[in-house]
Amino acid sequence: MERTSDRTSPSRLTRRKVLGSASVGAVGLATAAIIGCGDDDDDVEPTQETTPGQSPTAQTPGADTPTKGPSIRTGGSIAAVVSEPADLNPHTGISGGEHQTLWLIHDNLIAYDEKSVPREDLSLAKQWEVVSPTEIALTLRDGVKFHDGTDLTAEVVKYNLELILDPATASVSRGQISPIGSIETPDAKTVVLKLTKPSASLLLALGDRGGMIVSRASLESKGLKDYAVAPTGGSGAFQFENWVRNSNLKLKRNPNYWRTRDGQKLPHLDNLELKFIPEAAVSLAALQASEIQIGPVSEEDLKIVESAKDLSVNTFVGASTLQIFMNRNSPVFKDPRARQALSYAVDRESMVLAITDGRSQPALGPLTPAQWAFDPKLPAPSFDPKKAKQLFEAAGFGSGTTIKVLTYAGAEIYKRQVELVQQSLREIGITMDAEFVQTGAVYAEYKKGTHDAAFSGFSIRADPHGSLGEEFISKGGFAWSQNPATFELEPDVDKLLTEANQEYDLTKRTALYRTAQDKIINEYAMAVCMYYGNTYLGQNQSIGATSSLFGGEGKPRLAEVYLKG
Amino acid sequence: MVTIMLFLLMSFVPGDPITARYGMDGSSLNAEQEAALRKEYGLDQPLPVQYLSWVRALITGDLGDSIQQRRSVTTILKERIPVTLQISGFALLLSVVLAAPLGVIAAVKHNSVWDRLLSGFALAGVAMPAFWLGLLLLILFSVKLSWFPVTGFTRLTTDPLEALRSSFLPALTAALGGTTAMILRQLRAALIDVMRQDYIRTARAKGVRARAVVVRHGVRNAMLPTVTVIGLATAHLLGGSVVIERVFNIPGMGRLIIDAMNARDYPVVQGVVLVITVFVVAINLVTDLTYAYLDPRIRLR
Repeated sequence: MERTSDRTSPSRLTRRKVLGSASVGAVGLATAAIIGCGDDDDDVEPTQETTPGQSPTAQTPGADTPTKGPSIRTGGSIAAVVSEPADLNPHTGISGGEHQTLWLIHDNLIAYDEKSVPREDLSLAKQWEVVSPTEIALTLRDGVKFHDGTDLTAEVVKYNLELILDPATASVSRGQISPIGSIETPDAKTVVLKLTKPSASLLLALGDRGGMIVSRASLESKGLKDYAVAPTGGSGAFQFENWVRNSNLKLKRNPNYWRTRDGQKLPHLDNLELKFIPEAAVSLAALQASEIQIGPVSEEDLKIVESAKDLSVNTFVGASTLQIFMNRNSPVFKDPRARQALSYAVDRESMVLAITDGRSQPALGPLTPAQWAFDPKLPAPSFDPKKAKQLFEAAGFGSGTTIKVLTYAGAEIYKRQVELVQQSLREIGITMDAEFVQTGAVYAEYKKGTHDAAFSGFSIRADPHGSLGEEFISKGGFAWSQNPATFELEPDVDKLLTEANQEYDLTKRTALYRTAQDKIINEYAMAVCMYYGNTYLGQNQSIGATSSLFGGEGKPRLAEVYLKG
Repeated sequence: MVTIMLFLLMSFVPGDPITARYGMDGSSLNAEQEAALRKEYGLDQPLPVQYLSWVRALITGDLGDSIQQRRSVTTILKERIPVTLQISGFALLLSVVLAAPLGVIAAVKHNSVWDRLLSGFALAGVAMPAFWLGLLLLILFSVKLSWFPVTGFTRLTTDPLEALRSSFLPALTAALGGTTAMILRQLRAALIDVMRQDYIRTARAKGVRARAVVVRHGVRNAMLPTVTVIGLATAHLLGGSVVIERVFNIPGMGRLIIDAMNARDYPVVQGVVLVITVFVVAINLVTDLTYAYLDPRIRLR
């Protein structure tokens, strides 16, 4: 049994450490710094200079285990359980569960590591320079070939970005890279992004789906629709072989892959089979039977995996924030005092103990300890039933009030969250009726505005703007707390978050996020942040990995997995 | 009738296929694109019009395109039907192989310890949720004994031996979780009834051996109601594939319909339900024809 954390324990994170690790992640663009300063050598060692003050990361058995020679076996096959993608075209897919597969087949223009730090040795751009707040110049790596044999050129990058920006593509990434106004390609290896407005989050956005570059030849010959089921135009570590929906997806080594690690060509494995197992108990059985070597582990099954001799658990702390979003047009939650009251009525400490067996942390705000802008000193409401009662009464909702909430059916954690909040509210005379709706229909149902609040999680993004911008800017992509009638949130929060995204100075940006979060959780109580969710990956001891098994957004990264020799 | 019911039920389910496919709030689409997609899939039309369009296309063999997978529903069904039929067929075979001798023993040893044990076994089979039974079998045979794979499916046409190995646990779960019990109980009851008939007494009086009395005169006459139950069991297996395929990670129609329901992929749901309906009707037809084969009196009539 081995239980380790891929993330430094949140309690050990200091503001300085977090900011330090983010010094590149946030990109000090004001000084027009050259972020990627690698040379032409593809075998660039990941350097610590790019992350001054970065806290040491706890070792993950596979993820961070050093990888010196003999213990790594080149070749072989393993199987892993991942979420099933619906669409394997990075430009048309939508599900957050697709990334882990897409990242194996495609590379990003700018890629970031497990601390959300953009790294030139992982990126298709070997170097990038912020020429001005509205201009970024990227130099592409030499010798990168797509799986279809075509070369990576500036023209291909331009084609991909323009495809995403074209409304006809209906890409979910369009919003993320929308600050790009035009793309220039002065030569075959240089791409200049001209922005319509400064965007501090753009570089990390290029590490997401919006920065995945696909062979133009493949996209044009197959069309967007057919590429989605047979992605043969990536440049990633593995090539697509076969996909049987609801069963598995087979990948094979890309023999021309450009990345190396410690002088060894990547990937280490010959074959990687991704299995799609919807039932957690079956996935666990497959892990126990060594039929898969890596797979997600649910909170309930952690003890079983931890006690197994040949298995270990990798933990990503703060992969999501579990929240209650309030409908600010509902009779109860129109009044900010009622929203604040609900926040004081939630016993976060008990919730963490009851639901996660104390493995998670009570939430302070929407940003989690895994994000560089996380502020451990953020003033957050804590459990205070008396204050909750007073605030409810001040808002005109005394004993006998009923709140109607909505959440996901079939998900045990939401059921338990609801039960615990119901219990706390009952003690101050408030009734909470919960409706459990099938996952795919929750948001659509909530948008009808007939519920007072909704319980939902929100997964982190590599850049804080990805989280806060989408959640708390009016008309944002996932703005659950907006007024369903007007789609508006709070103008001053909109302004703060917009300013933060246009601010390249890290210290100023962090301060803006702090103020915005304070307003979000205290003044306007747009959402009740309950606790931070972790992600757990079970791993067979027969395998290791030469990089973290998680990306900075907490999703599995399996490109550097190997079989132990 | 089934298709009308289906359309009505689907209209009551909250959610929307465009939202499910293109994002929670359709953020990747502008209003015109969303409208164009709704038009493309006919979702902008009133329900009766949608239904009539679907029926019109169905007559020409067109089941439409999946909104989620963006492929023809017919193509998807062609991939999935053989998978479900393989598991269901194997499960039916196991059910009959298990239920026939056990049912005969229970009937012949009527009111004995054997009868009570077998009746208890049948009751447990009916009562036990297939999901739970499947997990128990997986833990025992796959995790502890490593006899069968936890997941994975091989087609009979690809590798018959591996196909049998990968289909055994799902088929056994489906068989033990209801259909064996259904057939066993029916065969037992019918055989007990037949064994009380005058012609059985006559056969015995004429000195026909006990085994021949049971097999040639008893079982043959008890087969008629049993065949009816086998027909019902087959329909039960097709419906049960929803659970079995999820537990054993099998890419058949059962998993397809659950995913399609979650994604509000109406054309796929309609296609799967239609196929299952056709199968059930076909099974009933085969059952009726089997009656005639087993009982010449029905043929003559």
